[in-house]
Amino acid sequence: MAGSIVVAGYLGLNPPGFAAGTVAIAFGLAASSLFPCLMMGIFSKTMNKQGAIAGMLAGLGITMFYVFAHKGIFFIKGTEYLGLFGGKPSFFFGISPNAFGAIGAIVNFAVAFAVKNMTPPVPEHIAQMVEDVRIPRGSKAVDGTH
Amino acid sequence: MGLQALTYLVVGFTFAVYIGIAIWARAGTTSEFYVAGGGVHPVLNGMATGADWMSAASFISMAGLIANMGFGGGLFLMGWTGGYVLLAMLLAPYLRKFGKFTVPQFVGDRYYSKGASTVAVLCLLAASVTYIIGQMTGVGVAFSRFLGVSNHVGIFIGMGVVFMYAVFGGMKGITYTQVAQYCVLILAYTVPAVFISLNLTGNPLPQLGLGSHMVGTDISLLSKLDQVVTDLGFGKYTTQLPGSTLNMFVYTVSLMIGTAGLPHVIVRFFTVPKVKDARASAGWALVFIGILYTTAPAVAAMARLNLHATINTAVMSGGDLFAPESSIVYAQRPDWMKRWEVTGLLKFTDKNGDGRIQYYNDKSKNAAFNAKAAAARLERQ
Repeated sequence: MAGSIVVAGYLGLNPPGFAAGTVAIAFGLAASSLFPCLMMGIFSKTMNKQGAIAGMLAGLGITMFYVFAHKGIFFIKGTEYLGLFGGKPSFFFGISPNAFGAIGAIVNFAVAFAVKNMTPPVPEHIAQMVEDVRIPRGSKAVDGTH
Repeated sequence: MGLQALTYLVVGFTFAVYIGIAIWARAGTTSEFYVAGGGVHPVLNGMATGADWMSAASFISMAGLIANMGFGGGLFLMGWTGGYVLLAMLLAPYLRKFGKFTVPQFVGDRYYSKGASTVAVLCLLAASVTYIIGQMTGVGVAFSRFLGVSNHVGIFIGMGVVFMYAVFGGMKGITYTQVAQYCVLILAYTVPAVFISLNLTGNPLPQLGLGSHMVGTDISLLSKLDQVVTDLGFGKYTTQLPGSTLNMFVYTVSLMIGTAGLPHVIVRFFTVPKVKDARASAGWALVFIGILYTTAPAVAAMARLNLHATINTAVMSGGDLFAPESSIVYAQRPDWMKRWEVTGLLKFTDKNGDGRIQYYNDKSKNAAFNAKAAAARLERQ
């Protein structure tokens, strides 16, 4: 914890943008990595661990790649690599780096479902657990024995 | 008592209250650290969540960004509040029912592997560290202005305070200090807004003042502002977009689903005893955040107008914006500019050597503005 405060403080001396803009990047990273993972964890009974891991890494990776292209690798000034993409900012359909999280999330979902279809299915007890979480407490399936 | 002494006194008092509550409610066990014993009332929980949101980014930076971006800045309001609704409706109740305290725990259980939870931790670290960088930027602004030191010194002091805070508190301490903090912050934000609104439009509610007529005229605040900023070569305040409509849409979606995926908010929903309470907490949080988020656009528009009016006296009198005597003389600039110059966050460069401050968009694509600005520059030489 102390370490993360020091790192954040150091980078705060040379921030990649205004406070709200930098926080927006953080939300983009969470959007691209954690949100799809949580969603699929709750609403997909078939999503397996390989799909989730690949999705998170792909979403986070592509978002970081796009942000670092504009703001420098790990936000260190002078390491921007926009030159690789013609030097024009927001080169992906005019989408700014702060806004890229949603695109990362789409990549995350796509990769997760693709990998899921190529790997072993989820164990039975996990599918059961997801089912349980989605059914309100107290209700039960109609079994005909009143 | 001077303004500075009064500031120290008020801030010192609120700090004492926060630290007092933190010591009183110190966490005893690990589970208490995370969920405060599961016994926090939904309204208090909503307030605490509200205080979380009124971080440096929302409290200091957002109104400024809206003032600068105009209509496009509204994406922060829509994204962050929309994210709450998404979180409350879609995720929070299920996550709570899963009975896991943290996102990595949830991921580890649901995806039956240590590997998945390790990756989740990695993602959390990336998001959280970036998040703290942003907040530290804001902390630096706040401390440097408050203590009259440079921005860098402000950040070092802020780091120390945050560290002490995190070590002492624990979640329970933080929940109750956040409630106190919410009350202090929301008052600090809305009280000046009410008086600025009264001053400019005669309407005590800043939210309504934004759409009201300026005092003594029949022109509304926003039309006045639109006219002033376009005259000075900036984009029209009420329709200005950040890049394109697509970018604004994607940006908003990013903030929404990012909010729904970020940990510190989700963990807070576990601090109430029942699923019903988790929903109620989210509802209350939205109400408490709404107070800030509906005031922010009003503060932004009024501050933008005030900034232009301070630098250029013709803004309010309706005279020629480009007349040399309309711009204020640097030596007579208001005290707040001098105080901000100390922090290194506000700078003036006298490019034309006339000793006055001009503020306009020198990269403007507005032809009428460029012609007037060129003429004004010629006159001065």
